[in-house]
Order: sequence, then C-alpha cells, then structure tokens
Amino acid sequence: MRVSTNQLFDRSIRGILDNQDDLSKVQQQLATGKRIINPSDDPVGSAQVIRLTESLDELAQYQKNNNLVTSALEQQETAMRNINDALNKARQLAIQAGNGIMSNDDLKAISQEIKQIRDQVFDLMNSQNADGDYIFAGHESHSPAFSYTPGATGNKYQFEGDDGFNRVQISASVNLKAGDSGKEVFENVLARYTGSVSGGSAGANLYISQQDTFDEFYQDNYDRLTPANNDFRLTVNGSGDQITVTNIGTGATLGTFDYDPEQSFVYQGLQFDTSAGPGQTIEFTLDDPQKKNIAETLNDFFLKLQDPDLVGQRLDDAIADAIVGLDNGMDKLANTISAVGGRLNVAESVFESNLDQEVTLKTARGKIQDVDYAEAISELSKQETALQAAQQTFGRVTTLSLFDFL
Amino acid sequence: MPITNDLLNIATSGLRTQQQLLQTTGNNIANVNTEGYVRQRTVFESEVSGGVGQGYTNRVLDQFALNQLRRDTSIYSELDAYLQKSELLDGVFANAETNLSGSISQFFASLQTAADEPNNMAARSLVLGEGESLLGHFEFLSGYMSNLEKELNFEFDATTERANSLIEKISSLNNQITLTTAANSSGTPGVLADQRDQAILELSELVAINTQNLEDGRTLVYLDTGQALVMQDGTFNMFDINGNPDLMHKQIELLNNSRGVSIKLPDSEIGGRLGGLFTFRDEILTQSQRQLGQLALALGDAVNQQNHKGLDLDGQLGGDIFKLPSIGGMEFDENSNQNLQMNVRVEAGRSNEITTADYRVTITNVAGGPPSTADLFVEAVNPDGSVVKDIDGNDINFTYTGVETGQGNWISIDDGLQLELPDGAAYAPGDAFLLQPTKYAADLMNMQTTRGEDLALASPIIVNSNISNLGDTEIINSVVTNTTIDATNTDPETSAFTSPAGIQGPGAAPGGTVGAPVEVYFTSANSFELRDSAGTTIVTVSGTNTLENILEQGAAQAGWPAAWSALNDYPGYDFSLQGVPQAGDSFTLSFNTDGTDDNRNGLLLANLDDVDTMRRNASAASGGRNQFTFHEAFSTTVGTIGERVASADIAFGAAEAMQRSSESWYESVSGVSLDEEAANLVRFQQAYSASARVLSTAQTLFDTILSAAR
Repeated sequence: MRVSTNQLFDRSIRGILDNQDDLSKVQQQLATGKRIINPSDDPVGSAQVIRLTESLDELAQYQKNNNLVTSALEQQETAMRNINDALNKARQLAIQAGNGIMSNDDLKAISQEIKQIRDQVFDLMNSQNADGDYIFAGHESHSPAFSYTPGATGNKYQFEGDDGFNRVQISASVNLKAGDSGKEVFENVLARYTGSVSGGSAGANLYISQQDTFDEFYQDNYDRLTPANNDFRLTVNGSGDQITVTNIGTGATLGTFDYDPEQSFVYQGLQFDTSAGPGQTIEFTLDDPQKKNIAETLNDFFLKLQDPDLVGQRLDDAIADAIVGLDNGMDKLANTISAVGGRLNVAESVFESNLDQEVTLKTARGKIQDVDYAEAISELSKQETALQAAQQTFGRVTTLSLFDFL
Repeated sequence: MPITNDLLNIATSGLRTQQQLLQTTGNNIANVNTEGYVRQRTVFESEVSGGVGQGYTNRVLDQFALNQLRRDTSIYSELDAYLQKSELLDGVFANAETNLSGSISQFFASLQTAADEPNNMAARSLVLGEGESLLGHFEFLSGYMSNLEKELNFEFDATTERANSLIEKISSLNNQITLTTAANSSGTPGVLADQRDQAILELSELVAINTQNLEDGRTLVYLDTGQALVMQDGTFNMFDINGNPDLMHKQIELLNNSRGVSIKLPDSEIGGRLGGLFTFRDEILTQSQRQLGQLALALGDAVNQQNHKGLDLDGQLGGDIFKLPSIGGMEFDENSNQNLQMNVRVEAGRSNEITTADYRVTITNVAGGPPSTADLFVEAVNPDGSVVKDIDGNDINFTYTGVETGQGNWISIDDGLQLELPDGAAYAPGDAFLLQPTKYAADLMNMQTTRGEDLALASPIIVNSNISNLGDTEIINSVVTNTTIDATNTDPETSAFTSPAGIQGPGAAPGGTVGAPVEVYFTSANSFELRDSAGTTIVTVSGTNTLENILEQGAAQAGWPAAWSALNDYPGYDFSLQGVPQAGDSFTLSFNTDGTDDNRNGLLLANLDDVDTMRRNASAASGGRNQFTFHEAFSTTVGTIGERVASADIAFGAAEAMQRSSESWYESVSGVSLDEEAANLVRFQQAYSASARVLSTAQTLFDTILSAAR
C-alpha cells in the first residue's frame, strides 16, 4: 500500500498517544490501589461496591451501638447484683431476728443494719449512668426512678418512672432491650398473701401457720372481679364435732373436717384459735394481694423492729412479711439478671458475627474494587516497553527521507 | 517539413511539459502539511504532429474512500462527544468524596447514634448537621448536572452555528466551482474542491451526512435522515434550536429559508457530534437529574413523615426536618395567555409513589364558579415529550373533573403529587403546562429546622401496666401510624392526638360520645375491654388467641364507633402485649409527657434507609416489587451511567479503529508522499535536462546547416 508522509507521522504519534493513555490508566490504578476508577470500568462491580460499602458503614454503626448497649447492660447488671447481695444480707438478718433469743436491744441493732441496707438498696435503685440518667426510670430517666416520702400514708417508696425501655439495633435483624424499667424489676413484687377474720358469730384468732399451703389455696380461690367470692364461712355442725367450709359469694361447699373445740385447728395453712360452739360460724376473707418494692419491704421491717412491743405472733408476722417480700424481690432480680446476662451473651455473639461479616464484606469488596498489584505492575512494565518501542520507532521511521540522499 | 523547426517545437513542448510536472511536484511538496490538500497529478498526451500536448492537472481522489471517511468521522465524533460528556458524570458520581451513598449512610448512622442516646444534644445536633451536608451533596450533584445542561445548550448553539456556516461555505464553494469549471477546461479547480471537501468533512464531524456529486462539479449534502442541507439551486437549510415549553430542553429543527418551513428532527438520530450530545442528554443526563430529584424528595418526605409520628425533646409532636419544594410548571407557547401559572409538589406522605416522569397537564374545561373549577387531563411524559407507557404498552394518563382552582387549593393527583392552579378562572380550555417535579428538586430542598430538639426520637405514647396486675403480661411494642391533629375531626386523616399535647377524651373524639381508647382491661385471659379515659367501655373483645395489635382487634368489633371507622386511620396508634393476663389486669396508654429518654421513633427513623421507600419505575403501580431503598436507587443510577459509559467506550473503540482505517485508506490515496515526490523531482529534472539537450541538438543541427551553406 502507498503510504503518505502524513500517514507515517500520524501513525507513529497515535501509537505513542495510545500507549501513554494505557500507561496512565495502569498508573492511576496502582496509585489509588483501586481497579475501578470510574463506574464505567465495571458498572456492575461499582454498584456492588456501593452496596457493600453501605453494609460496612452500617456494620460499623452496629458495633458502636453494641459497645454502648453492652456497657449499659453491664452497669445495670452490676447494680442488680449489688442489690441482690444486700438483700441476701437482709434476709439473713431477718432469719436471725426470728431465732427466738433476741432481746429488744438485739432487734434494735438488727433494725439499724436493715436501715442501712434499705438506704443502700434505695441508692442503687436510683443508679445513674455517665450521662446522669436514672437507669431504672424507663423513659423518664431525667428524674429519679424512686422517691422516698417518709410521711406518706401507704407506700413510702414510690416508683416515679414509666414502663418504657429503649431498644438498640446491633445488627440488621437483632435489636436488644437496652435496659429494664425499675417498675418491673423492683416495684412489681408481690408481698406475702394474707387472710383475716372478717366476721361470724364466734370469735377467733387467725394466723398463717403454713404459708405454702395457704399460698396455694389463695391462688386457687382468689377472685379479683367479684370480691364477695373471697369471703369464706366456717360453720360448726349441730353436734359440735365437724366444720363445713362454704364460699359466701358462690355458696359452694369446699369441704368438711372434724373439729375439737378444745384445740385450735388448721385449715389450708390457716390456724384458727377459737372455741366456737355448735351452730356457730367464723368468717374469714382473703386479703387483696399487695405489691411492695424491696425498699418498702425493708422499710416496713425496719419500722416494725423499732416497736418495743413487737413480740410473739406479731414478730413472726413481721419476719414472715420481710422474708417473703425479700424472696419475691430476689426472684424478680434473679430473673432480670439472667435476662440481662442473656442479652449480654447475644450482644457478644452478634458482635463476633458482625466482625466475621465485616471481614467477609471487606474481602468481597476488595475482590471487586482493589487492584491486583502483581497483575497491574506487570501490566505497567508491559505498557512501558510498548511506549518505549513506539517512541524509538518514531525516531527511526520519520528520519528516513529520500531527500537526504539527493 | 523543416526538421529543425519540428525538433525545436518538440523540445519546447517537452521543456514546458517537464516544467509543468515539476510545478505540480513542487506544489505537492509545498502543500504536504496543508489540511484538506489532495495530492495532484498532471497528465499529458502526445501530439500527432510530435511533441506533447495540453496537460491536465487533477486531484488524486477515491470518492469511495472519501465517503467512507465522512461516514466514519460522523460515527467517531458522535461517540466521542457522548463518551466525553458521560465520563464527566461517571467521574462525579463515582468519586469517593462525591459519592452520595456515603452521605446517606452518614446521615442515617448519625440518626442511630442519636437514637442510642436520645437525651444527648450533641448527637441530635449532629443529625441535623449531617442532614445539611447531605442536602449540600444533593445540591452539588444537581447543580453539577444543571450546569452541564447549560453548557450543553451553549454547545448546541455553537455547534449548530458552526454547522450553518459550513453549509453556507459548501454552497458558495459549489457555486464558484461550477463557474470556474465552465470557464476553464484544464481539469477541476483543485483548491476550491479541496476547500469544499474539507468543509464537508468538518460538517460530517458535526452531523451524519450523505453526499451526491453532480456533473457540473457540485456536491449536494443531505442529512443521514434524508433532509437536504445543500441543495442544487444553492439554497440551504438552517438548524434552529428552541425548547417548548422547557427552554432548557433544546430541540433541533430544519428551517428552509426560502420557503420558511420548519421540520422537527429526531434529536438523537442526527448523528455526529451534535447527535452525540443529544444522545447523552436524552439517555443519561435527563434521567440522572430526575432520579436524583426523586431520591432527594423520597428521602426528605420519608424522614419528615417518620418524624411526624414521634415526639420531640420539647414534648411536642414532631414536625418537618426537610423542606420540600413546590415547583412552578412551564407554559406551552400555544397557551391562551403567557402569564398563567401552575405549581406542583409532592404530597406529604406519598413520596413512595413519585416517579421520574414529567407531567403534561392540559386543561380541558373551565367553569367560572365561584368556586371556579377545571377539568384536567394529565399525561406522564418522558423528557423528550413522548408519553410514558405502562407495562401493557398503553399511554399513562389520568383525568380529573371539577377540581377547584385558585390559590392555596392543592389538588391531590396520582403518582403522589399535588397541583395548584392559582389563577382561578383565568385558564382557557386547551391551556397546557409541563410539570417537572423531580428535575431540579435535589437542588431546591432545604432544612426546615436546625434545632436538635426538633428531632422526634421519642414515641408520643407510652403504655404502662397497672402495678396491681397479677398476670405475667408485658408490653412488647407500641406503634404510632398517624398523628394528624384536627380539632374539628373533619379531616379524614384525623387521629386521636390533640393540641396541646394529649389524647382525645370523651366528647372530643369523633362521634362525640366515648373518648379514644386508652385502657385495656382484661376480664379473663382471652377477653378484654377497651376503655376511654373516663373508664367507659368502648368495645369488648372476647375469645381472642393473640394479644397483638390490641386496638386493631377492638376496631374489628361491632361496637367500634362508626365515626372512627369512617376515618382513614383512627386512633393512629396501637400496641401489642405478650404473656398470659389474669382477670382484672389492665394497661393504660397515655401521652408520653415526660419520657424523653425514649428512642422508639428514633430507631424507626434510623431504619428508613433499609426500608423500600421508593418507586422503581413509572410504568407499574407503586408497591410490592416495584419499590426499592435509597441506596438501591442511587446505586442503580450510578450503575446505569457506568453501564452506558462502558458500552459507549467499547463502541467508541470500534468507531475509532474504523475511522483510522478509512482515514488511512483515504490518506493512502490522496496524501502526499515526500519520497514519491523526491523521486518525481529527480525524474522530471532528468526529463527537463533531456528536453534541453534536444533543444541544443536542434540548435547544433541548425548551426551545422548554416555553416554548410556559408
């Protein structure tokens, strides 16, 4: 083919320019460490990179959240464990108070200790986090979770927060409860079930001799909607040797048992001291269930121990109130502590799996967008050689001219 | 016949011929670097009477090579222009610093952080700071694209002007060539033809053309699509560019000057650089602009709506975080009055329905009123004015009759939009407007608030258990779906929330009797009553096996007030319980007055970027499969641009190779080779010397005869 002079120059120059273009592309890849400089280099890949980067950003935020929720839960756990320890101590003291050889002064000493435990527990129930928020107050964390009003009728330790709790997202699908309201942990604690004599033709004294048996009876029979169904009548028969139990509200007969007027008798854990004669009746009622927070229980116990006349049955009742209240409180605490522990475990395992996922995502993203250095460097030297060759041939080819020989 | 005289004549003609050949060679050498120069060759015939006759100097040209070169040049410059422009966008959308996806992630990450600690003011302020920087990012990208659009329009102007001047030049050169050819019989006038062919080649860079050569030396030029540019009678057609009604959306027309007729041309089929620019605009720029706008509007509205469902740090129901623009429609030139207006905006809460389409609204009827009303015909249109088709291939359009016109009357129409016709009864049937809800939307968004307190991270309701509950039931969640406040209860969107902050009690709620349900009271483990704030039972639900969505269960009962069922979403909240309740247990719902350390709504806000909130395409109804997330939307935009650029890049490579090979073909025929000319120089010089020798021989012969005769 005929080759014109312009063609000769054009071709050589183009060769050099093309090579420079390729070289600069490889150079850019090496300098940035990225294979995809513009989305057009790999449209599908770059769309994937956007999504992978988004997932990685999200993971980073989840891990931050995880740290936050872990520290919040740990603080809560610590507070609850401390309260639990204090309650255990109080329970020992309550048992000690009931061992029968305690003098009034001894009881006073115990009461002082109970008072201190009460204050410690109350303080822990109003625990604050680093931001000054009360951790057991629910959503209303800017004010103390529990208040103490010594002059109040009824409960002196009142819950002031709400039932709210926050959740924290620690992975795309898992969110964790970041705290528990003090209402559920400390306030929602049942006091001891009690019953009392409410009437009848014969006089009687009643106390709970077998709390477990009574609790069972109470749970089976307590009717919240119809208060009349909580009243029971014990009727002594004509011959004075048997008692029939009926429910006053429903009229149902619950049973009949032998009766000796010379002796007190026990019905469903309730011990009756009475001398009812034939045809006489005793009426008793199941008291409404009470809820008392543990500070209140301790406070009640403390106040009762202050009373110098606290002896016999009243002392027993006070101790029983305290022990049942503390036991119920510790049950609630134990439940919550184990729930928190469970959440901490979840947080930890999610943290680990997030880390794994992060590695996977980074690898996937790297595979798509990162440059393969070995390949790029060999490409670079290849392009370099090509450019050199093009430059050298330019000199050779273009200096050839017939005019030089004329 | 006197031999010496003959020989002298032959020698003279030989000398003259070699001189002419040397002249042509010299000319070729001199013009080796002249653009558009076609190498020339002089040919002679011998005379019957001896000697050399008249010589003709011609251009060495292969018409097929030239035509091929023009065609390939058009394709090359079309793809070159397309690629150049789209690479600009490609780069901006991909750059890590300018990657919008990162800004979106950061915004939602800051919301997460704020949700983690709802009382932390610094975290709240950061959200709004990130929001502002996200808007800045939208503005940057949108501004970049509108600047690109402006530049493109300048380029359209400049390019058509250049094309026009080339057309004019070709036509006038054609005329000169005809005149010169007629006057001169010794070959075509090379310089003029070179200039004309160069002008045609330059024109082929701008638009795709075909040519036709005539006997008289003229070359006629047609567009590839068939319309004539340079015609036989010397007149020519001009490109004219305008946009109706969108002045920024230039179109191309052929205008016949002598007849005053204009023909609209298909923009992107015109080929050449101009065609490349139009294709870029229609395939990439206009789409990307609208997709970005859709993303901005959908994100702004979704955040606003979720914020409405929460409670801010001031204890008020949340307001707007972002301010969404209302955009003025453009009037068609044909309208009865050029001062009419029509405005469009996204209806709050319906951003998941908006599309990237433009809308052409035609007023079909006007009634004076009062109140004045109008009938509207609304078509979804593509940027080029064609109507969008649905999946079955039918035009997408909507008809509205008797809509109230006048300032402040926002009419809800399909696709999540609202229209305002502020000019009352001044419209006339046939008036039409072009609405572009998304094109510049990303540029027009603002922050509605910069106070961190306005972020509604808390939920407006709180459900508390009654402390004397004996069951082990617990609250698992509460949801708020509607917080619209209307004291008159006439708005169909009305919820149970009141202002000042509270929940409607007896008398205030729709229907006027019982108040909104705020208490659930269990009469057994699987039956409950819903009660208002005065303790009046609204409905009883019995025999239920789930405690999920307590109020929804109530709403399904016969006793649920009819006035509530008539509303779209009343009371606008619900909650779920879990566990086994005992008779007598109750839960009370109240306005969350003091619960500031509450992130329930914050979590939902932070989660928005994982929710399908956007409509994928205009051809199918919103919802279900036709929805995607913010990130998916953006990565689709980036992916589409990248894909287009990548395929254009491949096509460009092919076009470049083709253009090179045809250029090489053309050059190989018509280009000057200095070596060839050097050889010719030597050859002609020798011939010249030989002719001179013939002359001197003739002289010697003559002298010999003279001396013999002496």
